[in-house]
Amino acid sequence: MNLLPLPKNFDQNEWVIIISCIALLLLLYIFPKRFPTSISILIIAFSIVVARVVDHLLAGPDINFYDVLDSGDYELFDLFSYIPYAPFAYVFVYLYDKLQIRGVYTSLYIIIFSLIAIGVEWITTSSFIHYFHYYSWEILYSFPIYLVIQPLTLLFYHFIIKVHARSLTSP
Amino acid sequence: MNILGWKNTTRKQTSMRLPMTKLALFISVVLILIIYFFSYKKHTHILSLIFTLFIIEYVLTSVIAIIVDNTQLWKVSKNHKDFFLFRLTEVVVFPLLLLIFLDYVKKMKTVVLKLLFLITCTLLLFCVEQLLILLNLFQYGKWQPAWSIGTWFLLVVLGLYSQTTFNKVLKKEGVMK
Repeated sequence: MNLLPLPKNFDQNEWVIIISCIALLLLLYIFPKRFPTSISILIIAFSIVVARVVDHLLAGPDINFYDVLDSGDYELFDLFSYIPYAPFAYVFVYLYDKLQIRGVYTSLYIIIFSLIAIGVEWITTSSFIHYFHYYSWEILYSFPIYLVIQPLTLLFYHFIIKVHARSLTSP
Repeated sequence: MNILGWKNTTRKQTSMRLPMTKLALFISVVLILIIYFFSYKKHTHILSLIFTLFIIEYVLTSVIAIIVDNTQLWKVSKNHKDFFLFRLTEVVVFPLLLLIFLDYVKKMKTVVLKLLFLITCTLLLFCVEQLLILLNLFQYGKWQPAWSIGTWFLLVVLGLYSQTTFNKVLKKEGVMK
């Protein structure tokens, strides 16, 4: 009985996770601080948990549209395999706030970031990185998923920033 | 038509209707839980609740993936409706129950009361798990019921710890007193 299997081969897909962790730390360190710590933590946690829950629902053994990393089992590195979403979500919200994107430009911003996400996903499905293994999934199916998740991320950001500000001002 | 004016049903029709009744009743209970969660007055800061929910979701889905997918210690029903209900419980019911329990812990004044309440929460979560077995959503493989009690207790403690830790961040920022 193997509770958390180790990677079959420690290769490119494990390196993607390690590099993403370093990228996340660098982003938080290099980018000028824009949000309070609690807000940054929540944005990062939101992106990781949404990815985890969606993958759990779509990449289980019975309903299996795709596998993440080396096999359909939940491997040790699967525990960290959602961290690559965090730097992406952080930059997405950071630039949205910094560039003060509002109105119709929000739609354009979401479409551009969804296309970037599709591009990144396409790279990760390549035989070199093999981060995702599709079965009955096509990369095109991911596009509407991003178009749902990214507005949700922005709504979530607006909600928590409002709650945070209200809590600061209330006696 | 029978004497009461109801249509006579065959055994096949009755057996088809039962899983649908289970589905409808189960979804209704889940919706009532969601409505209750959003309507009652909470003792914890909302940002802290959100953070705790995230931690619980991540850990719970990981633990269940290990128990169900990696080790087959739990055998989930192959029936699609039951599988859907199992996932619904895993992603919505258990996290919400844990959040409600962790919120009520704040009302307990002494450490002994808090500990007693945490043990009660653990047993309640275990009872919900047993209810899922009664409803045939899953069955134990080589799993022992005592392991469930231990796992739930650890999850409750982890939830409480993450809530306390995040509260410290909020206090530092002046969001909480």
